[in-house]
Amino acid sequence: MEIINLLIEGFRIGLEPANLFYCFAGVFLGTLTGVLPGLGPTAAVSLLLPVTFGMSPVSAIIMLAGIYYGTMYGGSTTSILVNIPGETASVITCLDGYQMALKGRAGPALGIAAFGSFIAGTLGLIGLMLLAQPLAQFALQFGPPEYFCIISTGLILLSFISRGPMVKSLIISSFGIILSCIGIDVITSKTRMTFNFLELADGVGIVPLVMGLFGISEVLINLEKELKEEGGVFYFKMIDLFPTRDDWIRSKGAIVRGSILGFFLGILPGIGTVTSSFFSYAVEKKVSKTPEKFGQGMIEGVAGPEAANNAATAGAFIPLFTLGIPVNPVMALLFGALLIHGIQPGPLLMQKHPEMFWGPVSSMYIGNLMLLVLNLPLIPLWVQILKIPKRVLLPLILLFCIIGSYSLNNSVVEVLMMVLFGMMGYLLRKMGYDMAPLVLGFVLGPTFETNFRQSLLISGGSFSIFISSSISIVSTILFFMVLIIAFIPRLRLRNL
Amino acid sequence: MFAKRLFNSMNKFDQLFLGVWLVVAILVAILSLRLGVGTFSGPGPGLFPFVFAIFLGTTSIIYWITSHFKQIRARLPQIPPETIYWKRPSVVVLFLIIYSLCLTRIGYLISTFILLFILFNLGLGTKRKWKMGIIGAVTTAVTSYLIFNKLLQIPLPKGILGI
Repeated sequence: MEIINLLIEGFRIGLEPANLFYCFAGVFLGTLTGVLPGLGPTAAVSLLLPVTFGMSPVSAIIMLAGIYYGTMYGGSTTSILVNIPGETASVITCLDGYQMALKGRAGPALGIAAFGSFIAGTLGLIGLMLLAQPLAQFALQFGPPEYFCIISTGLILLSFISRGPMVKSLIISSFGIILSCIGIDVITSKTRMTFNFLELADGVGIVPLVMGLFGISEVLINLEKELKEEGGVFYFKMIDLFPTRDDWIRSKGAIVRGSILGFFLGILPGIGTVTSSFFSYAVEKKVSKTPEKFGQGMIEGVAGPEAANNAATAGAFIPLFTLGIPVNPVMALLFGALLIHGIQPGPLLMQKHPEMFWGPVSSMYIGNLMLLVLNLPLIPLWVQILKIPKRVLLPLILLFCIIGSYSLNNSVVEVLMMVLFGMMGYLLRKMGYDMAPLVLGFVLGPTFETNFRQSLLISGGSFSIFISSSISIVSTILFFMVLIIAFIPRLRLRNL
Repeated sequence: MFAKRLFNSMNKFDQLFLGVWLVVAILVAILSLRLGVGTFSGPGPGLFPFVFAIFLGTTSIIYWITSHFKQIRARLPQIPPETIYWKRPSVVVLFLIIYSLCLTRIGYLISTFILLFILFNLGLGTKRKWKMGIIGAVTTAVTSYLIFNKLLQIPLPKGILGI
């Protein structure tokens, strides 16, 4: 009953005209960036993060969350129509979506992607509502050692799952943690590694870091290629958008399976939308009576992954809202946005600021509905946007990055830092380093350090405090299990 | 001798990055020691960065060794120097750095116009495109100024024009 009352209150917040506008702006811009190949949700959220600084915290999270799940909707459009995934989570949709388009079934493919995303998004939100509160209550028992152990396990799990060798992810996440140490030490108030630059006293800003690593580096990678337009757009009649009865019968199982899988995988650090969509595709192929037809235009191959990546977006909010631990770079940005607005994400968030949870949750329902209603009629517009030449688009992205990082503190130093991080991100990406562990190491660094030092102060320097409770023991066991699996080749799951 | 063989087995970029990580690790470790690592019962401000500097250095060396023995290199994207098209990305980074340094002196409108003009014309040399580049740069600089400065009230550097 309490949940119903809180949800009603959430809808009251979500339906306020200003929040409706920000929700619409978020899902619209999210779909737009999802449509544009190369611009993923992290780049989109980082580009638009500074725009939210003037808003109320609830409106800011509503808009940023809208961008995140909006990109999932938008990404499928280019996968199906042009065989170019708008963002990584839609890569797998290319396989059967584009084949469906070639067979003259682009409409049903787009339709089932949109309906599947809507159903999965809604199921994911129900899961989020039901799980978040009990988990937040449970998390209230956590002290510094428990947090330290959970963050350690999260970071090691993320490094294990990340692209490329695990040791590279460990290198990059420790670099992220070191970066987070720059600035004033919160316990002793001493400045650390600032090299007497006043601008570094507050530490490295998350906005220049993320904009550089994701926005600028993306532009630089795109600039390597000739700025010619790729491929042709597949044209279809708007009337064909609705899936047939047979399409629905074939897709309903895939959507439900994809939703459940995506939601639970989304909760885990580092898994996110990409892995869940690939996992869902593998499951659909496994349960299908005709697995050999996958890759030739099976609607289940579109419905399952699209449902999974949308449900994963809802799942990813659970650790952020209940534990204050972001599981992917977009959640890290939302974590940063909440901190900038003076709100500490964690188990007390739902008690101290219930509006911060229920407002965005209810607006996600509204946003999902907006996406369904608006996206299908807007598909011709998205197709037109694909025609914007990259030589125009890329300078505009750079301009947004510049204004975004400058507007944070009206400081050119932040712009310069963003450019340097962009160059670093470009080189690191070329060398096969994954950026997610760096960003999460950077965002979690201060919490990680504070809990580490507080634990040692409580225990008088004894490390046994990290195995003093059942939560920390389980977490420590998980930590070592991941290490053993990663470094004993016979057990290495990645190679299976 | 062994280290030399190991080093030669890695590609140039891996070597470069290994060197960078090791330098960062040593630098951070020295700075952390200067800050004071304290004791385990009374950890100082340098303890945490020191631990991760050691971790960074150790993992870099582990990567160096494993990339040789386990032939991880074979599974990584092999990018010999000639396939990285350095020219345009480095030109853009250079102009962005110059832009950042000149932004407050020259002002948003002029510096953004110059930057956009260069970016719009990157790799395109025809006369018609140059004209289009000027029109595009002026339009974008002015429109962005009006949207962000006038509409969204974001203060942008005024510079020599005073607006």
